[in-house]
Amino acid sequence: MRKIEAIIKPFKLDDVKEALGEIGIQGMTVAEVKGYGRQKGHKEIYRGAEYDVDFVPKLKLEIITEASRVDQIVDMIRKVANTGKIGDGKIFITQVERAIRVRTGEEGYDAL
Amino acid sequence: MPEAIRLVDISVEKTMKQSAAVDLKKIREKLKTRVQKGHGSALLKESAVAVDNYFIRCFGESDTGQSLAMGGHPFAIVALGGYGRGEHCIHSDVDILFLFDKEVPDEASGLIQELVYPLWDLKMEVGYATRSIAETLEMAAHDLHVLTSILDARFLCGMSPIYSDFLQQFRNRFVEGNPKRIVSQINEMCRSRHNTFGDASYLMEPNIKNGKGGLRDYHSMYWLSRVLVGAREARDMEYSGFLSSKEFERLEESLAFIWKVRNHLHLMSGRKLDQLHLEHQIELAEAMRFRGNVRGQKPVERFMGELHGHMEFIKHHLSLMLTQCTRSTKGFIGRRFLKRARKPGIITDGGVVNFAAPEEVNRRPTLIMDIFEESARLQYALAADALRIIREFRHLVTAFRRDAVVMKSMERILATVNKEFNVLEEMLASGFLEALLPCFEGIVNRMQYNRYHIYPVDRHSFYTVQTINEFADSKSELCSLYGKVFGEVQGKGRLHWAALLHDIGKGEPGDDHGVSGAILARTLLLSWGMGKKKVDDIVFLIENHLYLANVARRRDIDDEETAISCARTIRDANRLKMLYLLTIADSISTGPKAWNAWTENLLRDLFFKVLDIIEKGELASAKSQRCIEKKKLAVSKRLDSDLAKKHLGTMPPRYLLYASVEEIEEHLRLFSMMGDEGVSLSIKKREDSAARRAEICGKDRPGLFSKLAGVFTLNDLDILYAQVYTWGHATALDIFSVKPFFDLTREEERWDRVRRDLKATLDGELDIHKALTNKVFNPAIRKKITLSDTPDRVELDNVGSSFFSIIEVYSDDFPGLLFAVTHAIFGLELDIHYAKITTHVDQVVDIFYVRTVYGQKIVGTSNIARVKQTILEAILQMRL
Repeated sequence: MRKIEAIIKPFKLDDVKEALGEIGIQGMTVAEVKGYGRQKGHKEIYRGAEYDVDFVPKLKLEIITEASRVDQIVDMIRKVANTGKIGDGKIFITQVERAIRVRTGEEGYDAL
Repeated sequence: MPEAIRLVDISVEKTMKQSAAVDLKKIREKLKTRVQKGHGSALLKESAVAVDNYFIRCFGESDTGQSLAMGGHPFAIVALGGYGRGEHCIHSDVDILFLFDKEVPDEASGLIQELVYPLWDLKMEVGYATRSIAETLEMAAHDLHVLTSILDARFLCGMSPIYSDFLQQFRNRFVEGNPKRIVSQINEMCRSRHNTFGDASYLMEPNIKNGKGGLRDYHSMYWLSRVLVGAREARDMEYSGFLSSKEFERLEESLAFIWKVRNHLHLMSGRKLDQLHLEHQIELAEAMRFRGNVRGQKPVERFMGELHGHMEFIKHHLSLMLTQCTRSTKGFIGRRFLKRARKPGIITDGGVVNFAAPEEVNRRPTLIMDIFEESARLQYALAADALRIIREFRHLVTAFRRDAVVMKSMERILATVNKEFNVLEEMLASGFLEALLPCFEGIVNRMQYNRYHIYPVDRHSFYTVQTINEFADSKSELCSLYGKVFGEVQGKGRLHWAALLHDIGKGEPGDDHGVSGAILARTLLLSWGMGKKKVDDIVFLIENHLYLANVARRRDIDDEETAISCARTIRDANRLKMLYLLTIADSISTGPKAWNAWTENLLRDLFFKVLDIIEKGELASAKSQRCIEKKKLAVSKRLDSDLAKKHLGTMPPRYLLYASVEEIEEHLRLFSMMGDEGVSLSIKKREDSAARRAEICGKDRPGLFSKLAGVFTLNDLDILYAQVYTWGHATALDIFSVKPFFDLTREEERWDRVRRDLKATLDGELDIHKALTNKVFNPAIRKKITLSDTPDRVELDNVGSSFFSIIEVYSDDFPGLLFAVTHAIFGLELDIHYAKITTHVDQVVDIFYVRTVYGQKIVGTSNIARVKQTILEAILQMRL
């Protein structure tokens, strides 16, 4: 079982959600996050006062899935979230040891 | 352990034998089924009577009770709290006081066992106390909860003289002596309770007992009238003049509704519960017989709306009663000096505003507007009787509804509402607001059942107005940027109107409440005689109040196109500022789900970018937009191919604005010829001069521009003028105007060499930098290179554009200059998005719009200095 964490531009959420829905991904967790990588924050000056935008607003999606589906999902996110510009985001994949559904106690793939 | 179990068994057995408890159980079961059938508030009384009967019977049959009375320890059984008032919901507490004359004997515990334990076995919540008269009075003196529960006291059974003796002492000590003290204690208790439980008249998950507007507020009203006028039942509030008869009817109706809800809630959860959680609301709406959608509202939304309405009524009347009871008749409120009203016919009396002569209202209906304005200005509530008069006479509003003076007055009111005192609440509670603005009716108590909105629409609108005013408040944390922007807004009244009316479309059918609200607002404001320009602004704000938030979330705000298209929709800076502030205030007033630092960041970024485009004017003005549209139309007419149309869609406005129709056509042709090499070049002669126009269309790649400049210089072509554009899909368009130094007779051959060199350079076979350094220029040109009258100058401007750093290079012209500069820019890992190279006589002005390869502007003094230095050095090196 794998966890896919994808950082994307906020306006790409609907597209990504729709595309993943089409390949049968039913659930994900979405969080509003801020951060920076190569695309640093910047400074805006308004009437003499500075307003720092230290961190760039992004969305983080988390999807837990079977290992065999990771490539397909990653490809799809890459295809849809790509604008060809800086700040399109990143995707991380990690191993998930266990998954448990709170209500029933089901484990593993059944809990997804 | 087995011992304990056996004990319980015995007690169960014992209670089951007691027929009184069995009967009570039966009655309670019956009551529960009647709750389910929808019976109303009468059940509360019946439920209390059932418990009464239980006590009376038990007391009659109790051996301990008899022996206590005989043994010189007479006592009375007294019902307290809600049970005392006879308002007993299914799982409400039963509060009982065993009141002894002198002291509590040890045998009292036997009494408790007999009377109270069976109720516990029925799983009822029973709280009891055994106290003497003196003890009880002492406790009441120190504990307000004890004191108020005694205000609800009711004699059940036992020795009634003890009870009446107790009551007499209680009245002497607490009520006759100093009622003001109790009043102020109750006032304080309400305040702290409201702080803890919030305002139930609009919260999504209200506490129907302890919240503002909940049952406890009604209890407090009742206690106050007990203390002040010796009320014996709720109706006495009417007889003593606290409520009009109509208001009392309405109060009964509201209480009945809330009690019914509470009974259902108790039944549903199987316990005493007062917090109306979301998970119960749909089921409750069903139980309360709300069915089917009405005017686009779900049953649960209508149910919550009605509940909020009832609680609003209670909240409002408690607050009136408290002001009435606590106000001073002197010229001071507490330690502050009482402010005076300015408008004739309005007086301030003990911290509330009132009509000087109520009978005047009929003759001068505008007094109603005046009193609200004074209330808003002075931050004093309206007197209860003034509100009563307004409610009764609100039909008079038709006489002045369309009066421009009233409109101005309303505008002043909107500008004063704040967190501490929002007079709009009073306008709403008295029914005046709906009379004045009929379009408001559709959103009063309109709930939006989702996790996003926490207030009903009417309240949300008030908070939006309030939040706008908070922007101007230097004490507020919202003041920093928003205060500055607010200060710049011209015609702030527009913003206030838009804030109040932005959601009125929610009461209308249709998908887009912005649009339907805009239509309603236009009709309303025009009929009021408001100027057309002002109405246009307000209507624009209402119609587009979600626009910025949507763009910020759904479009790429790092793309200049987004800002430009926004700027085109909004057009002027004042509108943008108002729309921005409205968006912020709207989000803040919606709730924490709609407003956080993340959203704030996005919106602020977008605002700055759009404002920048609008203030620069060039790209988004109506004129340039018309120009662009005209060109697009002309090109698509001439070419009439789908491909051309598709490409037109990707061209940036800057390009469309500057390039002529012929050029665009030519570039599209070049684009189609690009082929696999990824570059195409066309040369045009000019009839009137020796200059040539070279146009290159190529796949954008780092350093393309500098390579082109280098190849031209290498081939003895003097660059007079150049311009670089970037199309969408990473296509670069470079336009050069060059003057050949060479003999023109064999020009074609020379151009072929240019093409060969260009290909070699792009393929990496020719190092253009090296080739140029090694090139031997003819002496005439050579001279030009070394001579310089004025020092070279490089400027970097980060203010001119939100998206790019603008590098300006001033220098004397010489061959290789442009290559030197652009090659340096390439070496600095900067992308040239747009460039314009012009030569006036021998002075060159080069302007480059650049970004780092990471899409950033060049920031930091050291970075900026490095860029300037590198370019200057490159120029210098080229001269050597």
